[in-house]
Amino acid sequence: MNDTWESVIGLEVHVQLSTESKIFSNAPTKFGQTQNSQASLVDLGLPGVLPVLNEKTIEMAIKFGCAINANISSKAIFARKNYFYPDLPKGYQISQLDDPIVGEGKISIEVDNEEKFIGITRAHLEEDAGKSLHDKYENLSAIDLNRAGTPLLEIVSEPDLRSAKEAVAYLKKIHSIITFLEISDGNMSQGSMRCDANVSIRKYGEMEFGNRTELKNINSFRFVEKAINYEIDRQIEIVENGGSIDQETRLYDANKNETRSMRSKEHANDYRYFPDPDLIPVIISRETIQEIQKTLPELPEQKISRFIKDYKISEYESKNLNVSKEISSFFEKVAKKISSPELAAKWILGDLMAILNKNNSEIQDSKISSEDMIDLLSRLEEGSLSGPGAKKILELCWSSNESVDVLVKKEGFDELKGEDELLEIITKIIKDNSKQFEQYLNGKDKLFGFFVGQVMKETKGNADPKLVNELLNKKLKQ
Amino acid sequence: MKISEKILDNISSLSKIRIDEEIKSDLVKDLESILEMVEEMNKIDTSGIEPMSHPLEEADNLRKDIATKEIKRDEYQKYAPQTDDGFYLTPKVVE
Repeated sequence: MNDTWESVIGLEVHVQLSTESKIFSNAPTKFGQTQNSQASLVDLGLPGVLPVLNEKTIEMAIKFGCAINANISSKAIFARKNYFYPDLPKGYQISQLDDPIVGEGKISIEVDNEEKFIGITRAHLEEDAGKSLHDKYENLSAIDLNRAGTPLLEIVSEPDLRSAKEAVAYLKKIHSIITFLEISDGNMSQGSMRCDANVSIRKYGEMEFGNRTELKNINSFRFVEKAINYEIDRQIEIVENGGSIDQETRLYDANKNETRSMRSKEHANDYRYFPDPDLIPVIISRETIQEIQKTLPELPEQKISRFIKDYKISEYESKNLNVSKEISSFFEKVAKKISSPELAAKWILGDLMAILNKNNSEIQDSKISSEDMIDLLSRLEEGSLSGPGAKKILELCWSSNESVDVLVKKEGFDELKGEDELLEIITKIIKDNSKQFEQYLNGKDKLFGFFVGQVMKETKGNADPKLVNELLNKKLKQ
Repeated sequence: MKISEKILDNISSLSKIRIDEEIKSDLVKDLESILEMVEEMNKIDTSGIEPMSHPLEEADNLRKDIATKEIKRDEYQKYAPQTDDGFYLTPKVVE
């Protein structure tokens, strides 16, 4: 990193709330449906229709507020944000300006083993816009309003982040909070969580902020880091060459890994917010907040400490198991059913994650179920399956879609070689490797491992390693 | 407050309403008189009065989160000037 320049970053995160129906209409919110099959008259902005607020969105926003110890407003007011664009048929987006439902709060992040608190300015409810497709027709834009009216919670941070790495840690934290709270599926590839970043630079020690640019269109953890780093470098280069930074909106292009100016946003936007007369203020009582507080599920931080305590796993393992609700509950299902939770942590974070990463897959889409994992690790614990054998079964379990139980039988792993059979194999190996045997007898103890390896290879892993060691010891010393 | 040509153009572009040259001077007069009225209202002492965002407060105005199955797309699309393949079509607008 640069020694002269400090980067100052604030994020606006849009989280799609996982409701059944939209925020102001009863149209369904399902993803990936036929164009305009999820758009009601309210979403189409027809004259005479009225928005009616979905109570679930208020509940979800309060849940988030409680989770970050934020002030919850006693009154939530909706306002119209006015602008013209074809995928916003009403000519305004219903959002919040004054009295957002969630006020100031904070979130802790950890970067390079250091804890840091990031201030949350506010979080407010608003509706999403539709989608415009510009490539489908030559002189026309095609509008799909399925997404119009989908509830969003926009979470705005203070400019407290100082590097792209911190921004990613912050985003991951938000992601884990919303998924543990089950207020969003957090699926970034489907746009359930989107992020805009405000980036500026200043000399270390300076109190004033520099001119900032707003980066739009960032939709993965990886791109957040790349886009911010690109933008920081771009700004440093301009300023070091005597230039100045224009306050502007820039679009991140993931394919080219660059940001470019959005000329259409050249004029400062004037959204002319005013309270939406169609919606009366929502009064939120202390009792409502307390009721919701009671229903809050266990959050990542609480889970991390409980796992360390209950399952005697390391802090490192516990943190990694709690990066998502799905991994966390997968682990807990397995850990409860086998005698060594540490073994579960090791296999889930090790071999299972490796398979998932290799196949670009998430644990919730895993072809290896928690039942498979329990079965596999139980066999490993009782010694009826060896480490390499278990590894092979796990891989087959992914590729063949069959259960561990079926695969163990199919691959012959249920018939571990018995003592007699093993002795026979050992005798043959000693005979075939007489040179190594002689060296071993002459004191080259390290060769013991070689013989273990040969036996495991010969039995294709279908041997209890403990028994193999025992028998080898006996045979080699005869 | 005076309405300059620049402010008028900005209002025109924000509201997407084209303003013909010949009505400009009359419009400026109208807008200025509206602003005068607002200035008059601003003179009222409102200290100690809580701002009101809506004349109605505290009513049961929430909806249960239940999705309808009745989206009659084909019927709704009859109201649109141009549709195709389920899409609503507009003149090309690229941001």
